[in-house]
Amino acid sequence: MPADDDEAELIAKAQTGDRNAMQALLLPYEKPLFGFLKQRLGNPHDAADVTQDAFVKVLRGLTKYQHRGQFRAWLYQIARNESIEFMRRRNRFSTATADDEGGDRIAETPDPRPSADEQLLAGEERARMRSCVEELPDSEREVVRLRLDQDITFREIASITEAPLNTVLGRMRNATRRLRDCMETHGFAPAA
Amino acid sequence: MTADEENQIALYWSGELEPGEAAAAEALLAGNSEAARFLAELKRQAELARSAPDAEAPPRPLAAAAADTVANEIAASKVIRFPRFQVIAAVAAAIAVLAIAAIFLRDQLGPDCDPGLASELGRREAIAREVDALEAAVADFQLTAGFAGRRT
Repeated sequence: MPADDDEAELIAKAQTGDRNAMQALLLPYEKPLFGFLKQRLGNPHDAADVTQDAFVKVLRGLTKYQHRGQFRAWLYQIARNESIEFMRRRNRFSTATADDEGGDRIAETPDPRPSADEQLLAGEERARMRSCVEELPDSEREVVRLRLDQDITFREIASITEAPLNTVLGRMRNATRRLRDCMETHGFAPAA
Repeated sequence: MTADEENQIALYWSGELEPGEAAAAEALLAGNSEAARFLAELKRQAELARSAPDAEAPPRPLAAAAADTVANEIAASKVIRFPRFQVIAAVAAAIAVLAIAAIFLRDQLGPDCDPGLASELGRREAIAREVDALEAAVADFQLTAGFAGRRT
C-alpha cells in the first residue's frame, strides 16, 4: 500500500482528472481487492466486473472525497456494497431461472472444500482451516477474511462494514472460538 | 476472561493499541494464561487461514480500465460543461431578441406584411365610413324635418 503522504498526493492529482494518478492510486489495491471479491463472489469473472465497477465509483466520487487517511476503508466499503448489490441481482436472476426450470438449478456458490492441490501444497491443517473459515456465518467470515487475508485493521473493518468496533471484535471472538472448535472436531489440537 | 479483555487482546494482536493500552494488554497477557491462549489461537488461525488472496492476478487490468473510463468522462464534461444558469440565460436572451425583432419588423412593414390584418383593418374602415354616412343622413333628415337639436 502507498504511504499516506503519497496517497494524499495521488488523490489530489486524481481529483483534477489526471489519468495516470488515478491508475497509480488504484493499482496497489487491484490484486487484494480482486482477491477479496473473488472470495465473496465465488468466481474471477464476477469479481473482476465488481472490482472495476467499484474502482469507477471511487474515481467518480473522488471530487467529493476528503482524505483523512481512510482511503482503503472507503474503497473497500464501496467494493463491499457493490458486491452485495451484485449478489442481490444474481440471486434474483438465479431464483427466477430456477423457477423457470422447475427449481432444479441452484444459485452458484463457492465450493468450500479445499482442492487437492491445496491439500498437497499447503498441508491438511491449512486446508482444513480454510474449510472451517468457509463454514463460519457470513458476518464472521467477512471479518476473518478482511483481517487475515487483507491485513485490514479492526477499526477499518468497522468502517467498511458500517458496524461498531465492538461488534466487529465480537464477531472475531466468536469466529476464533468456532474455528478452534471446528479444528478440534477434525482432530487438530488448539494452540498451546 | 471478559469480552472487553478479549477485545483488548485482539486489538493488541492487530497492533491497534496506543502505547499505554498496549502495556496494559501485555500485563494482562503476563498474568492470565487464558489471555495468552487466546492470543496464541489468534496467531495460529491467522497463519493457517491466510490464503494469499493477491496470488492470483485479475483477468484484465482493472485499475487502468477504470482510470480510462473516468478520465474520458471528465475530459468530455470539460468540453461541453456550462453552468446551467448560463444556458438558461442564453436561451432566454435569444427568445427576447427574436420577439423584439418580430415586433419591430411588423411595425416597419405595417398591415401589408399580414394579409389577414390588412383585411380586418379594411373591413373596419368600410364599416366606419358607412356609419359616418348614416349619421350624416340622419342629421340631414332631422334638419329637413325641423327636429334640429333633438336627438332620439
